[in-house]
Amino acid sequence: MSRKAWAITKREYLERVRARWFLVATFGLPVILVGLIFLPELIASRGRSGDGGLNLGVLDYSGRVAGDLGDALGDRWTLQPVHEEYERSEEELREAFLATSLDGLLVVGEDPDEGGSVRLLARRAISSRQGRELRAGIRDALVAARLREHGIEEIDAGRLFRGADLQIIQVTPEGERSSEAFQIVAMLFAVVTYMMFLIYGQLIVRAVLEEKSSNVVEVMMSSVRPWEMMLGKMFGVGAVGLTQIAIWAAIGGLLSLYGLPGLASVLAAEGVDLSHVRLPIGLLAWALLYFILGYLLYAGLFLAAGASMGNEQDAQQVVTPLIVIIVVGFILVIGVIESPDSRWAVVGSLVPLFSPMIVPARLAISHVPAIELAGSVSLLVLGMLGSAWLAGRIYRVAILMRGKRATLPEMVRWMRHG
Amino acid sequence: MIDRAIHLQGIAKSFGAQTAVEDLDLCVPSGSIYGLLGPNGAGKTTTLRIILDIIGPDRGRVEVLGSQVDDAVRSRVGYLPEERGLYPRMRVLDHLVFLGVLKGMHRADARAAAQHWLERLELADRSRDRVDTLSKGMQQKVQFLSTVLHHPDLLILDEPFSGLDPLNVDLLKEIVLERQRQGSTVLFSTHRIEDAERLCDRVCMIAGARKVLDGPLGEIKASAGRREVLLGLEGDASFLRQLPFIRRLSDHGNYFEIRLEDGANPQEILKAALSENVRVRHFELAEPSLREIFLERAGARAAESGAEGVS
Repeated sequence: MSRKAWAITKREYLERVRARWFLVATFGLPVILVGLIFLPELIASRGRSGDGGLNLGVLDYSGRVAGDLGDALGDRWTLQPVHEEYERSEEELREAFLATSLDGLLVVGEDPDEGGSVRLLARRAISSRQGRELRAGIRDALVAARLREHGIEEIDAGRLFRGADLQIIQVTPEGERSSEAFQIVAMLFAVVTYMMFLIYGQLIVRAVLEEKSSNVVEVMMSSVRPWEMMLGKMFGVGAVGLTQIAIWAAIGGLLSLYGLPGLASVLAAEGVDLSHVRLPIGLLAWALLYFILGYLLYAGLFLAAGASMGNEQDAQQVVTPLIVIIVVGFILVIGVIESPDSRWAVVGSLVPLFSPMIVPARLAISHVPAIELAGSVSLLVLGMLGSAWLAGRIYRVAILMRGKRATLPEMVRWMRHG
Repeated sequence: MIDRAIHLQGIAKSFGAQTAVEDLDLCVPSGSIYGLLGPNGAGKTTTLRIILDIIGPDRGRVEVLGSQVDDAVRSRVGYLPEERGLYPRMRVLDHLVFLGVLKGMHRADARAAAQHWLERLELADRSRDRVDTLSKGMQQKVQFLSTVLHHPDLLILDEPFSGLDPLNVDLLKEIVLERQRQGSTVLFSTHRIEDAERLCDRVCMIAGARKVLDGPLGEIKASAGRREVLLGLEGDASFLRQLPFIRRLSDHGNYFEIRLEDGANPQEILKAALSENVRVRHFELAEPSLREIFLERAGARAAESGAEGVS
């Protein structure tokens, strides 16, 4: 790269990294993301009574639940058996309940086995965790009751139903890894790539338009060649994106080192244990390579789109199809994560517009044969060069046009003749 | 030193159906101050852009500083475009250093030069401010100074004085002349012929995409001959329009520039004035002004289409 292109790259980079929005975006985005994931859990667990059990009255007409429910629910719950000689009307029950200081009244109907219902009259809304615990407790109590009827005594129903902890471990020539954890990694790759392509593509469009509208272009063109301006812009803006990713990775690394209270438990609730996941360097390198190549491919397209338009409204029209392509790529990735070795996944890996999103995700989950990988990378490199060539042709001519937008035939002519 | 700073041969450029420049030859000698004149839309800016290789000509040869325009040539040229533009959010000093580096300067040299020029243009206290906090005139000065930062051998200025107050116009002219004394060639375009008349050694006029006049200012004027009468009157001057031997009359109210027909006697005007009983305050036989020559040579077409530009 020439000294001048380097100077332009540096300017584009520094101007953006120094801008306030960079700080806001870099640190705001993870906060929002983490917030979205953890806020509900945080609210639930910090609720006054959400963590503990409830003080319940149990009115058991069937006589099969109350006895074992206490054991099944554990110490945190307090149960007070309520005895009634005859079945009360709903109205009477409610009034009687409201007169007590109980959190709730559990009413077990005639026979749950014969389709009878179990109802909880609750003073306030109960947390989803409490609901889960209560449901499991009732089930365990019923199981214990049924077993007893078959002559099996003294059994812990909870233990009866406990499954084994199934870990899916994929064995590849490079070693073994747990699939589920890597599905999260694949999703992370896909989301970051998708977001960065969208955000930085439009950033490039805006940069080109600003340059046109502030008339800096002509001064620049008297000093440097169009391709130097173009590369400087693409590399400079791209470096900002890499910086952002590096900062996020560093934050993520620190969090995983020192642990984030709640993170592990949330993931565990989803059945994922990230504590033993170590990202192989090779995987990260591939993801980075695909990100950079894919970024350059899209940057060229966005750059050409921005250069050929006179103002932001017009530009939006050309940019929209590009955005649609990126969104389609993201939707494909979701399918690919479900079945990483399907025919769609293989075909998508060869299409330069989609491969930057698909291949890293596939690499994270599954094994991609070397021949496929080689084909995918070469096609992507070709696509990237083609995009740069096309962008250079259009940029060179279009960058000097002001006010008016290029028509499609004009753009085709520029591509052919330069 | 090469003797031709710019050499254009048979340049043509059209945009769609519109011809911007047609078959233009131009030769700018080294060390001269050369004025490219013409009404708005005559093709001046297009010509300058072709010289700088910002756009390519449809036909013709371009030679700048002895070779085709390449990186080395670009670094020896300073260009002030008509549509000024700087990155609005950059700091003044950083911006100048950046433009200097793009001209092949080393960062430290560019910084030193920028500080020197900012000092001289009384902008030193604004060097750490963002460009968009500067007034329009200050931005223009910053932009002008970015064109001389790297001691260019060729300075190309497109309408350099438009939008500046007289004080700053003089300051810029001083710098232009100083550059010339130090051996630079200056090519500037303007639609204000008076500017060119005061500053240029040579001029080239284009009108309607074609060259109508080219050469040293003295020669152009000499060849036009002393057939210009400058006349100051008090009273009703309508009689002038009746006189048959006047080819051309520029009416400035109480002041007239008159071009006589070949062979006419200037004394006839005085005689007519006396008989009409108007007071003559001023009577002078003069070289025609560049403006008069231009209007004559550009012909009726240019006078009609570009009259508002020739002030």
